[in-house]
Amino acid sequence: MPASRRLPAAGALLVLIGAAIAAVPALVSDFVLLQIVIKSLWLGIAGMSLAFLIGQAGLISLAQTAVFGASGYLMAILVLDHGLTIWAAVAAAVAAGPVAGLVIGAISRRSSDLYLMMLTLAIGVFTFFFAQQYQPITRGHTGFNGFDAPLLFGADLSERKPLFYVSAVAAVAVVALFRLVMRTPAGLAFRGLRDNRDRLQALGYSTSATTISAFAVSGFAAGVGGVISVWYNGAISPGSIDITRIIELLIVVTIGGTIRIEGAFLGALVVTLLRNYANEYTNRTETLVGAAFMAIVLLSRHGLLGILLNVKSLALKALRFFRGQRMASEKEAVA
Amino acid sequence: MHPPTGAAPPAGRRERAEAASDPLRYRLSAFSQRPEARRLFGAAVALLLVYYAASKSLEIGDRSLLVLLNGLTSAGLYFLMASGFTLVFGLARVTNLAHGGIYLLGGYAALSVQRATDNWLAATALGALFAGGVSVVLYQVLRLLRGDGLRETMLTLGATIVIADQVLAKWGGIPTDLDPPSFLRGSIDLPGSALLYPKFRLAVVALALLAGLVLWVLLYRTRLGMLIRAGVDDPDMVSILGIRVPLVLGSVFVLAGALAGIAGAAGGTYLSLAQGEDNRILLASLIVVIAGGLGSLRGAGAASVIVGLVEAFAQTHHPVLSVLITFGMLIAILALRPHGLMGGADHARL
Repeated sequence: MPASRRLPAAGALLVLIGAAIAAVPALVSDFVLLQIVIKSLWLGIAGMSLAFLIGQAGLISLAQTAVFGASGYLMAILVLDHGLTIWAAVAAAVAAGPVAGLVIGAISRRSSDLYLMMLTLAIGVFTFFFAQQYQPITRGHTGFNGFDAPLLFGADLSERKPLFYVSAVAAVAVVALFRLVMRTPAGLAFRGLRDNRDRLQALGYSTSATTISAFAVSGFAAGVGGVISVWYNGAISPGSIDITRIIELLIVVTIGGTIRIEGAFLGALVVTLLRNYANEYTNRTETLVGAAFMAIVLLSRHGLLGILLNVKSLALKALRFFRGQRMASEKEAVA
Repeated sequence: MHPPTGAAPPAGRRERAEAASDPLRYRLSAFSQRPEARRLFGAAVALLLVYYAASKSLEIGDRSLLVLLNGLTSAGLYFLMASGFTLVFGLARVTNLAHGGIYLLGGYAALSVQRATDNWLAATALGALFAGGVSVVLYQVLRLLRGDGLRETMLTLGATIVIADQVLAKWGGIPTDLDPPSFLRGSIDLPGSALLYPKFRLAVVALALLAGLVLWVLLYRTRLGMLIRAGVDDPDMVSILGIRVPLVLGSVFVLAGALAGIAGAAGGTYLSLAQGEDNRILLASLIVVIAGGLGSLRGAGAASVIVGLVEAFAQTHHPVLSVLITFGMLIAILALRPHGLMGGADHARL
């Protein structure tokens, strides 16, 4: 499609998304809006940073919670301990995302596959222990409580609807940014890293530099997710970045699948629904979440989205098959 | 500009082109690529660290013996965990992140047996058996994925969640521990000082040494060990020769699980059994395994001693920064040796 025709299409899409966002608070109850929708949004944004890394650059990072935590903690520290104005702290925290990504990428630039997974797991768990142990900065176990979400154009972001709108806009913005990056030569280099490292290197690219920049780009989403989560919870503590959170992000991405980065929102929605409603049926919510995760890993390479797409293509195949049969029998009848 | 002397490995074309315009960078990269220079640098750093540790230890005098022994005790526990983890990785190419969960299961199973029979050895044996059983069940599930490394790893992560939650359901969330066997209760006098040290902790070191010895005999003196080593080198060739590789793999999983179970019983005796212990021990063994070189048993042995000592040292002298120090050491090792102390570039070396 030529660029001139792409613009109206993109505009129409934006209007559609905008209308959908505006409609959501009217459609769902206050409880669902707060507990399900908004939570899925920030979890999805954070998950998308991992979906981007895995799906686009083929890098499995378990250190995205470290980025998430770095941004969340930085904002809380700057506001509560250093008295910075909130929006300056927010800007610093969002900027901290890519920087933290850069650091993690630099540490793990030479690793790939399972080695990378283990190294980043070590980084992620280390960050948790650091937050728990290094009391002078992180306040140890308790972390930061009583964080007030800021005002934006007079709307209080600790209220449901304003927070929802801001999270939704942030989600759309992050998706748009990632889509944009995916179209640039850098995005192409990321896919080169995923598909064939050696070839990328033979073409003259530095795999280290590509790895580091992929981590930096993905860090942006994790940082934004971290900031919104602190507004949402009014707090951040080591528990927000412990190993269950690391696994949770991975579950979100695995359920959502990595073919499309937006799958993370589907995964986040499923996880949030399970966490909220499963305890009406069983006391062992975590077992259920873990078992569901294992089942999806066993059944599909591309998560729930992959299963859905499979069902769709199977249905199409079946349809074609029966149609073919009918046509054959009609031909026989004619003969 | 003069070409560098010495045998620098060829750099990439792009790097060389960039370097030509930047002599300093060229010299730096030539330096970092010369093995003898790297070794010299590593040795200098190590010497400085040893000097620092020694001077710190002199400050606390006698008590540095305690630090040393604490470090060795942790090292023993880490070796029990890391050896199984690294064997499974070397042979099956599976990163078993449920290894910490299996540790906890082994420990709690031992606890139940001990409450029933009041016999530590029986409890440990049954705990190890149970952990080995769980491990082999996990292996059977992993086989469904036919060697898709990423999904296998994620499956083990899922298993971690399920195990942790089931442990919580069965044994509750209150920290608890096993009683040491009667002949290992109490403390002994350390020679040459007025200090006491728990017998059981020393027994953990002995247990790890014993496990190392048994593993060595198994790997280098038995037919199964020969198959395991061959499987690490070239799994395809081994299976072509008519060996039933799944059987070998299964036995390695049992072995690794049993080692983790023993570690769980030992750790549950001198530390405690609690929620979150599984992650703590998993992180420690991950650091050991990565530092030692994935798949390398000797590496796991060396790294567990280093990690145990560094950790004990850091906890005594810099309690607030202890995790940071352990981790900094890992980063330093990886910076000097990207594949760990004894890891190979392409394949594991036992």
